[in-house]
Amino acid sequence: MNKGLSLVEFLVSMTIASVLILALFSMNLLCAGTYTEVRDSWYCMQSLRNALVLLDRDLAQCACLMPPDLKIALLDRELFIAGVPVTSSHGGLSVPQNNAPPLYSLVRSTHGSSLVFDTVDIDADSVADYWADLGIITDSGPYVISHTYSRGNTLVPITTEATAAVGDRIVPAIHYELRTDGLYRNAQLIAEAVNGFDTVMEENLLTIRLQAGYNHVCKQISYPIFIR
Amino acid sequence: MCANRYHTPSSSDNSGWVLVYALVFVLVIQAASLFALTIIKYNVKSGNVFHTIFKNSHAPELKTRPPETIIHALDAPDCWDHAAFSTELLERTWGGERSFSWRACLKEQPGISSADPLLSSHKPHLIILLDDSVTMKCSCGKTYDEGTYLECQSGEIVPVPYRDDVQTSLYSQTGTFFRGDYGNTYYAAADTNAFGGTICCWTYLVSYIKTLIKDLQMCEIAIASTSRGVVQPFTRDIAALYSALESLHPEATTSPLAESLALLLDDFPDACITSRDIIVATSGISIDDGNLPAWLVDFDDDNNPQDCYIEGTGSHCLDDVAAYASSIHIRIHTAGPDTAYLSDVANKGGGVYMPSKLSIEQVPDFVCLMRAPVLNTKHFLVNKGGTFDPGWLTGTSPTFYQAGPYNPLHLCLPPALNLQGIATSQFASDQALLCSTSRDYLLDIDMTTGDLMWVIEGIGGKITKRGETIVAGPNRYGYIHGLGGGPEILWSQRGDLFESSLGNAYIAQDNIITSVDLESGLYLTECATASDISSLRYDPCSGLLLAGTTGGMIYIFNTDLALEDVILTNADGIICDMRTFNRHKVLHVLAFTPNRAMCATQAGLLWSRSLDNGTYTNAVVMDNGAYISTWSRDEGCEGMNTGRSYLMVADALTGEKLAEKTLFAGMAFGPLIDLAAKNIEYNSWDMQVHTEDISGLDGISYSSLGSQRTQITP
Repeated sequence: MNKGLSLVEFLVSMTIASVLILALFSMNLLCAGTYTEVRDSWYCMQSLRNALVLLDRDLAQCACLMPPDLKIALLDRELFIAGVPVTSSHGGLSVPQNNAPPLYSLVRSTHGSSLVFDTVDIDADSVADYWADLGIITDSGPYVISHTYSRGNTLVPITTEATAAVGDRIVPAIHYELRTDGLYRNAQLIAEAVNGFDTVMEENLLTIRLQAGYNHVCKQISYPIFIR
Repeated sequence: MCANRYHTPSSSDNSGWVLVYALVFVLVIQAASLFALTIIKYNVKSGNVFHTIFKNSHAPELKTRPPETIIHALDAPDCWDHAAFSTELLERTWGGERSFSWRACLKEQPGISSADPLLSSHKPHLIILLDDSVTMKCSCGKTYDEGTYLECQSGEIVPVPYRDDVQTSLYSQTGTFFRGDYGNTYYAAADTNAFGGTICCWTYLVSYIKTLIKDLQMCEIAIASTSRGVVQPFTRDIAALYSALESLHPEATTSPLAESLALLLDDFPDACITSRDIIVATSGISIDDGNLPAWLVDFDDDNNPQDCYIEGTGSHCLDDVAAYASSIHIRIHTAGPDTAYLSDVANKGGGVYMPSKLSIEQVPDFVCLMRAPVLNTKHFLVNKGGTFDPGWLTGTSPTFYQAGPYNPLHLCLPPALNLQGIATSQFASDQALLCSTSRDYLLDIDMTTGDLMWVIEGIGGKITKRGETIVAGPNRYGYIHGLGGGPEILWSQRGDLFESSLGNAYIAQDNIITSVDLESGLYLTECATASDISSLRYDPCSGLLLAGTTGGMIYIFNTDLALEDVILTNADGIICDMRTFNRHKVLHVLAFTPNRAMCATQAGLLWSRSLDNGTYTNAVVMDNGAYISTWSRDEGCEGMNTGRSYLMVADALTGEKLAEKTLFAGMAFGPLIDLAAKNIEYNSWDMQVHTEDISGLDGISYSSLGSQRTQITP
């Protein structure tokens, strides 16, 4: 009995094998493409998630124990949320012993791009509540404390020209800023993929639109918050 | 023909290959499934985070259990009166979240003291004609009561305030003090006229007159004597009246009773007078009397042969002058020995013998303070018949004390005292009400039971309580007292005004401010201003003391009375009151002259405006609004029932008038702040109440101050 493969059989089998290989290759390509897209998408979503989690946390504590009319300040691609961020060296604002809230500092004088505060310890707990790269909100607008600021000093340099008036109230604020390499919070990169940061305040409704992009993936999210 | 075939193994029919193909297929399916599931899982996880943020952010947490609550009492809120308000900060903690909210809390009512309450409709005028002849030294048919008397070096016996260290008699440099029962034995006056008794007419009548003067609240009183005429014109100043009495001595050799009385009939004023009374305090024996016009000597037509001038004793013209006085609507009362003659004179004069307070003045029920808020109830401090008698006191057997006139720090227990005077100042604290009267009686009332706990005679004026220390004053002798709760007098200082912090009392007299320790009265320091001090205000938030002067300046001192600043208000009147508040951490002083309101900071004057409707009575600052009550009184007869009172609400920062309302006919007392009911109220002298709604002010209800997260939830 002849056992073997005829040419026809061989060709048919090769054809079938080729089709199978092509199918597998296509599937592999599809999977790889999907994986890449999902990975990029996931990367964008992670950035958005990181940004949103921090924004949400900061907004939830917005202006706690501070003046209600100095809660939020907006600039182009910048957002200032009144509050003292909890760090390893600062446990957040505490209830003062005598002074009734709301707590704030006052501008005593201005010197070029520096402001002189009446106090840098607004809750009188002997811990300075302002430090370098932190935002501030004043009655005249928001500013960012210069990186050169020495903590505890009432002479506070700011990164832009000071237009605050003597007697203005000041509160520390968390500063969000969109730079070319991502979204920064108090000068620390928190979301690399974020490349769009738009804030709109209409009456008491703050809408934050975040956009994250990586390779060809682009994700957007809109976060409306009612500021009480 | 046979085709060439390759002989290669074939497994197409081999079941193993089928198995391999099947396994590969399953593997591919599994890989695809796992891949898909991973994508789904990550998407679900990511979506869930966003969902959590979107759904839960800024919404109140699921507060299924009651929070841990802490209430902090802090200084006054921004734009609220420092003396009257504090901040209640409510901290509530639910697990990882704590929220804060605040509201204004009442610290102390911005009460005022009514220094000299008057009713234009009740202005009786009384002249006390005291016989100061030697006949007054005889016994008058009465005995000494259980009080204390002083035999002066001159031999004159006068009634003096009770002293508990005199058991029977006590010698001192001023004379010999003795008790009444001792006097009945050893100081019996000569019974020259067979009236009986032991006490001489002079002592008895001076004692009687002093008691009567103290009782008469609304009455203008003049003092005259038979030998010197009017020695004290009409006044309500009890110290001046007592001083005039003490200047008289029974040494005159004549006693022209009828002539003196006749001369006094023209001494009453024509206007602002509702009744005319004269009390003739005498032994009833005229000497060298009766030199009167012929038509008057027997005016009563009794044909008494002694109705003429008689040299020496005996003239009987007093009843004729009394009858004439009655005919021109002047009532003549008599006081002295219980004789038919004096009763007859009183009868003919339309008066009574030994008149009491009710014989002279009959005053309707009235109040001259705002209602007293204690235990969620508001009580009128009603004066009945011109004496504090609110009607809601259940226990009326208090312990009576007398703040010693001999030892300023000693409280003695006199045998008997009656409550006298109109309620003119109050201080409500916890469950007690402290109240002082115009006759220097300080009362402690337990408002849970309505019991009058104790009464101290000799302490009056404005009242405050800091901790357990009560500060009251000045009384009518110009003394300010610090008292412990016992009660006990801790210290006594002379002064015109006072303010107190938790540790110090600041006492102003003329242009000097003295700081003393609140509990011990120990002198700490003093300072002076250029002109006399007309108002004091301690700011509990800044710890500064503000002194307004008659020159229109405001001095700001620290707690050690070191001068911090001087504010020039350019006011043309005295600074009569000041209220303080903060705006953006800057101390603002709202100052008032009788006709102007001003607001200033240490940087200078912010605004000044005239009070359009009358003169200033009281003010309080709430949520940036100055609530100023004014009183436009009638120019004619004085009285808190005259004119009209108004409430003006002005922007405390600009002085702009925001609202104005008419309160009452007459003066308004208040405001009484009731934050629970969200209103303030004023009341009038006849107990009408005006309520003003303040529920719209920021701080009346709890306002959120945000929340903190102590644990990260997403």
